[in-house]
Amino acid sequence: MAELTISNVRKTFDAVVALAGANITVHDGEFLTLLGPSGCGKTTLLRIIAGITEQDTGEVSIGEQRIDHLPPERRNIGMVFQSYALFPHMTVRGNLAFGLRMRGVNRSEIERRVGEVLELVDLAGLANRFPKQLSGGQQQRVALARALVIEPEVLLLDEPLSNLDAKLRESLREDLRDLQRQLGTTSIYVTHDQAEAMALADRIVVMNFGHVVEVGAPVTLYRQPKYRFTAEFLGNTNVIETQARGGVLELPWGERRASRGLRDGKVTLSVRPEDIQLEPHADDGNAIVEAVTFLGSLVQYQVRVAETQLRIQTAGKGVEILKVNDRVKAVLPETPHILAEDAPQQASMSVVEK
Amino acid sequence: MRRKRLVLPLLLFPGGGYLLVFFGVPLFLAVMGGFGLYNIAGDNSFTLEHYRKLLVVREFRDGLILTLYLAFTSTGLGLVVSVPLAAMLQLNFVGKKAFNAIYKVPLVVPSVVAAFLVLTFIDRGGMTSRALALVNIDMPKMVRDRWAIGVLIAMTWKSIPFMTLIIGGSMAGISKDVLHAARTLGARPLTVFLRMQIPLALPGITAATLLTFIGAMGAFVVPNLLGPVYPLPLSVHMYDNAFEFNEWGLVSAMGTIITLVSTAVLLTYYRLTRGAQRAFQAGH
Repeated sequence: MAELTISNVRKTFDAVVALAGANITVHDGEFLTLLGPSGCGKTTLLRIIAGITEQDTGEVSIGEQRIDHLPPERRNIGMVFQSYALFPHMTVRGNLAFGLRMRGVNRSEIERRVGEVLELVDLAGLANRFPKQLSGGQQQRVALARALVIEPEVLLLDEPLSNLDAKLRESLREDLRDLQRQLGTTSIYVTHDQAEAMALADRIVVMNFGHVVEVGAPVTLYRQPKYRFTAEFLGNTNVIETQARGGVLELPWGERRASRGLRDGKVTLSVRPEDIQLEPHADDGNAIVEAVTFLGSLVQYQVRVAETQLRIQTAGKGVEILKVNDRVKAVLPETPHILAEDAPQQASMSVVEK
Repeated sequence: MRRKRLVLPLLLFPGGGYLLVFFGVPLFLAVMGGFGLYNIAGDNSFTLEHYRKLLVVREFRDGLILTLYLAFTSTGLGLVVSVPLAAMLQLNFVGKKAFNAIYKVPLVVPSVVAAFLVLTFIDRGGMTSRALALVNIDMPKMVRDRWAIGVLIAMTWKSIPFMTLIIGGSMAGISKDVLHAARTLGARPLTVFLRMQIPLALPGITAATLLTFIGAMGAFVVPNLLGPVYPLPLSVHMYDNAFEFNEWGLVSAMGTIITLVSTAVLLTYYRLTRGAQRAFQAGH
C-alpha cells in the first residue's frame, strides 16, 4: 500500500513562505498533479517528498511509515527531474543500472530488469548510447525509465515534459499516462500547464503562493471551480460580477435571471467561453463582435455586451465565422456557475508576496 | 591560388610565430645544448658525454630520483586533500564565506616566503619544537631531512588552494540535479562523491594535477631552502652547474631530462584517466 500523506508541511526560504502548511493525501496508485504558477511551492513540495529539501515543520508518510526524517536514498521514491539529470558519464544502460546497483541487486537481475524497462519505454536499441547522443524526447524517456526501474513506491515528476516541443509533449503525455495506469505506481506530477494537468491527473491540486487552493478531479475543477483562481488558471473563463436581489440575478448589461436560493448581494459568475451561445445575425442582438481569432479547431471571439467584454468560443465544421463589428446575440447558460468568495489564503496572498 | 596558399600561414603567424620564436627556439637550443651543440660557452661539437654523466654519476641519478619523489608526493598529497575539499566547498555550511577566503591565502604567498614560514615553524629551534620542548617532546627532524618532509609540507601547502580552486570550479559546473538524482536512486553522499563528483570533475582534476606536477618538477626555491643536503634535486644541480661550474651543456641535458620525464608522466596520466573515464562510462 503506497498511500502518501503530507501533513502540515511548511517551508520558508529566508523571509519567503514557499509552503504555508500543505495537507495532501495521495491514494494508492493515484496520479496526482500539483498545478500552479511558478513560485507557488509545487516544486518545493516535490523536493521535500523526495528528501532533497528539508521541510521546516510537518510530516510526510508512505503508508504507515514516516519518511520525512530519512535521507533521500532510503525513501524508495523515484524522481524525474525537469532537466532529466541523466548521468552524462554513463550510458543509458549505466544510468538505468545505477539505482539497482545501489540496492545491491545482482548482475543478471540488473541485466533483466534494465532490459525490461528499456522495452517498456521503447528504448531497447539505445542502451549503449550516452545521454548527449539522444534527442530530448529520448532523454526524457531514459529519465523516466531510470526512476521506474527501481520499482519505487512513489514516483515524482517535476515538469518532465516542459523542455519538449508541443507535438512530442502531447504524445509523451499519453505514453506517460498509459504507463502509469499499467504499473499503478502512486505518482505526483508537477506542472504549470493546465492542459497537461487535466489530461494526466486523477486529481489536481491547485496551488498558489504556497497554499493549496483547491483539490479535485479535472472535470470538477474545470466545470465547478470553487474559487476564481482555479477558474482562471484552468483554461479560459469569463468572470462576471452580478447582483442578486429578491431572487433575481441582475447581469451587468441589464439582463435579469430568476435565481432561486441566492442571498441578496454580490454574486460572481464563472462562464466558460464555450458555454456561451453565440447567435449570429440576431435581430435582437445585444452584442458586437470586437475581435476574431481563427485557431483551426475552434474560433475565438471577443464580444462586447454593453460595458462587458466576453470571450466566446465556437467549434465545428459547419459553424459560420463571424466578422468584426457583426451584431450578435450572446446567451449565457441557463444556470451559470457561481464562484465562492475568495479563499481566505487568497486574501493573505499579498502579505506573503512581500 | 598561390595567394590563397599564403593566406593561412600569414594568419597563423602572429600566434604560431610567437610560440615558435619564444618557445620553440629556446627548447631547440636546450635540447641541442645537451648534445654539446649551439653552446653558449666552450666547445661546439656533438657529444653524448653530458647524458652519460647524468646516468653514471650517482649524485645526478639520485637528484633525478629526488625530483621525481618530490613532484609525485607533493602532487599526490595535494590531490588527496584538495579533491574532498573541493567537494566540501560545494555544500552550504556556516562560515563558508570566511573559509572560502582563508583557504586561498597560500596562493598569494610566494614560494620563498612559504619556505621561510615552514623553516621558522618546524625547524629544530623553531616555534613548534620550542613549544614541544616545554613538555619534553623531541621534534623529529623535518627540515633538511632525508625524506624532505619540510619540502613536501611547503609545496603541498602551496598547491592545495591552487588545486582546490581548479577542481572546485569543475565541481561547481556539475548539475545539482544530477547529484540529487543519484541520491534518490539510492546513493549515499560518499557514493555520490566517488561515482558522480570525481568522474564528472575529472577534466578539472587532470588540469590541476598536471599543472601542479610540472611546477613541482621544476621547483627550486623550496627544495633549495628546506631540502636534504644529499641528494639535491635536478633544479638545484642545474643552478650550480650553470653559475658555479659553467657547465651549460650538462644543464641543458638536465633540462631536457626534466622535460622528457614530465612529458612521459603526462602521457601516462592521460592514458590512465582515459581508461578510468571509460570504466566510469560503462558504469562499473
